[in-house]
Amino acid sequence: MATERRPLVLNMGPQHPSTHGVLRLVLELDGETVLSCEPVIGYLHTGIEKTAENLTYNQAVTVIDRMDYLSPLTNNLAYVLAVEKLLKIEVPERTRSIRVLFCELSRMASHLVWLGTAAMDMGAMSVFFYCFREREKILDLIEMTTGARMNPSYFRVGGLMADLPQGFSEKLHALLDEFPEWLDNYRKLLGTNVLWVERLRGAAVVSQEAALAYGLTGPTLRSTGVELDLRKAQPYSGYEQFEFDVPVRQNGDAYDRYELRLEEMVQSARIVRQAIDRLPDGPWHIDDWRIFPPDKHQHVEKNMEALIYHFKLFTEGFKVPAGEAYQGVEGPRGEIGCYVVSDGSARPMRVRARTPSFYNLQALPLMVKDRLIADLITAIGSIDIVLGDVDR
Amino acid sequence: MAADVLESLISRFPDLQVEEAKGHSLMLAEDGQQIALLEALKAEGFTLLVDIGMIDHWSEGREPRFDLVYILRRPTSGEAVWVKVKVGDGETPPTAIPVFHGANWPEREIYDLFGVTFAGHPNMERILMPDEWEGHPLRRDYPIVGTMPTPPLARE
Amino acid sequence: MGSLDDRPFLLTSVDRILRWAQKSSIWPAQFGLACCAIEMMSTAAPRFDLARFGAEVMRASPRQADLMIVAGRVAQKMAPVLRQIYDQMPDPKWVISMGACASCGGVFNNYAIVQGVDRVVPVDVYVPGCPPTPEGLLDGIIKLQQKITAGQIPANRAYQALHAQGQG
Repeated sequence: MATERRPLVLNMGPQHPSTHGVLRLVLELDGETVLSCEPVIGYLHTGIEKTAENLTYNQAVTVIDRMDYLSPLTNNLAYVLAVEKLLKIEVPERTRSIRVLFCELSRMASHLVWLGTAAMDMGAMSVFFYCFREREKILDLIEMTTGARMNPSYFRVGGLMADLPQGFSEKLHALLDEFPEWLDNYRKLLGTNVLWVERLRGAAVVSQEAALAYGLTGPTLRSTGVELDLRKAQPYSGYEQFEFDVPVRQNGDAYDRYELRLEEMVQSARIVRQAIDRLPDGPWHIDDWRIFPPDKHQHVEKNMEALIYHFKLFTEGFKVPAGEAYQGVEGPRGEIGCYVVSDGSARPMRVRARTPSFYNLQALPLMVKDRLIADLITAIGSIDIVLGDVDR
Repeated sequence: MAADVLESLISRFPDLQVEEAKGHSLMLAEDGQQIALLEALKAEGFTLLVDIGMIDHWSEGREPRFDLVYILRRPTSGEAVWVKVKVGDGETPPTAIPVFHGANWPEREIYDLFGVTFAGHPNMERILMPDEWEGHPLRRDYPIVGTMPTPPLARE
Repeated sequence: MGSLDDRPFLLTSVDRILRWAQKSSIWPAQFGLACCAIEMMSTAAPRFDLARFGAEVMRASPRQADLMIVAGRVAQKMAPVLRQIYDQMPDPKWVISMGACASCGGVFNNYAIVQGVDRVVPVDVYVPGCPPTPEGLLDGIIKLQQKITAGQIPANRAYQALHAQGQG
């Protein structure tokens, strides 16, 4: 008896080990071929934009942290730069360099998590252990400066939470000196691994035209031959003073993205080294008590006026002139942008976050159509999504 | 933005108001013109759709209530342009999907969180909130703690 | 049969040896939600090495797991899914609420986040922090092991779980 041949509808997620969080995919399959793929998102919708509207400008930094939790400092940077644009203030040279330094360290840490988990999706378990071992060393540096391993809320409007601690430079140099060895290890573990190379090459291809129309940014866009990196194209926070290259590949497949991210880590290490070697002395925050709190020991304990400013700042916050500002920064996944609208009060009227994963994920159905289901796993890994970044 | 590009745009859209700032230009489009304007900008090289966002001016009592903002970028130089349109409550602006495929999800998100529907959108459903959710959370008059009752504790 | 004097032997009750076995090989479900999930991965990674406490076998299927670590904020949309995963786990099972968001909503007192996962499933151990450090999670797992050894986990969990949904 002849049976009718019908596609199989498969529900993948939201709890699935290779969806990097709580992504749900509704797949239509013909055997092992993906006929269509529909991502269903929102399982981690946190209401960060709404919450930020109800906090003062400096408090909102803490919730902005938790969008892209693999590189929270990059989120912070987009937000504080947007608010600083509205306030029309310039932070000192030292602050800008420290911000760049930590953003690049975050990028390295984020790419390490990507490498470890993407390799684990492909069945290469040991890479995960190497990557996380080395990521801990970066987190140590972040912890010794900010007090927190993740979500440090280190960048503040008008400055930083604190200056670099003693002994930071030595530890950072030690890390940078052993960094090439890490990369060597990854290249040995993966670059020479036939399974890894064969599964990535030619998988999850996206054309340059589609990449632009879908709003892809970051390594996913640069793998298609578009040389757009906001650090170079529209420099912010003093990136124009650093020497680095923007790696670009042409094929737009998963293997190119893997190579790009490794290369980006090399460039990040280059920037970090320049930042720490050329770090200027001087103040690490603006000298305006209406926006940045006066130092506790130097002023607040001795000066009544400073105490009043300090109190006002922490109870009411500071007022920001009415207006709108958008700042896009180049995060590990692409352009993280913050669109801050002020109505003149001490709380933002609207914080719109443009998150790269949201747009990158939208192109997933395009990459996997008519491919094998195994390539779908490669594709999810290669676009490096963070669900907190998708759902906010 | 280069002067010749701007000139040709203004000759096509006489009502266009343009403000120049460092790194980007802001264009205030008339209602209904935005899709043609986006198309013209895309032809001028602004091929990367960065974002579609919405701002609710309810707390200021402004009418029309919403601002719809498109941000485009020129991939060669990174130069950005914003296109801003005023949208009233209950109005249905046309979808931008024919120009930029990537407009699909952000427009659904705007519908989900602000309750503004886009005319011609193929799949105008909730994207972030559950399907049975009531209300549109990012409207300024929506309470932050929501309107749903809190379930009891799952303990004795 | 020889006398007991010249052979090593163990004197215990079935209940106690069962609890000892349970606490020594907890299998957590591989179930991450948000930031805390990354710290959960760090806990399993070399520096903190969850394997020292016999709890490193992360199972991708809830059918093979007996511990659910709710690592991160629980969105309204996720809550029914989480409940279903919990129901799919075989008895006896335990829940660790990892981090401020899972325990009480954390910084997100808003429409989107369930204000504490204990409104969805019964919780045995709460781990504070945002996110908790891996040491924090290890402490939570050790606390859970102590509770299991001491027999403090009530037996009628199925009844409790139903009660939680308002059906009991």
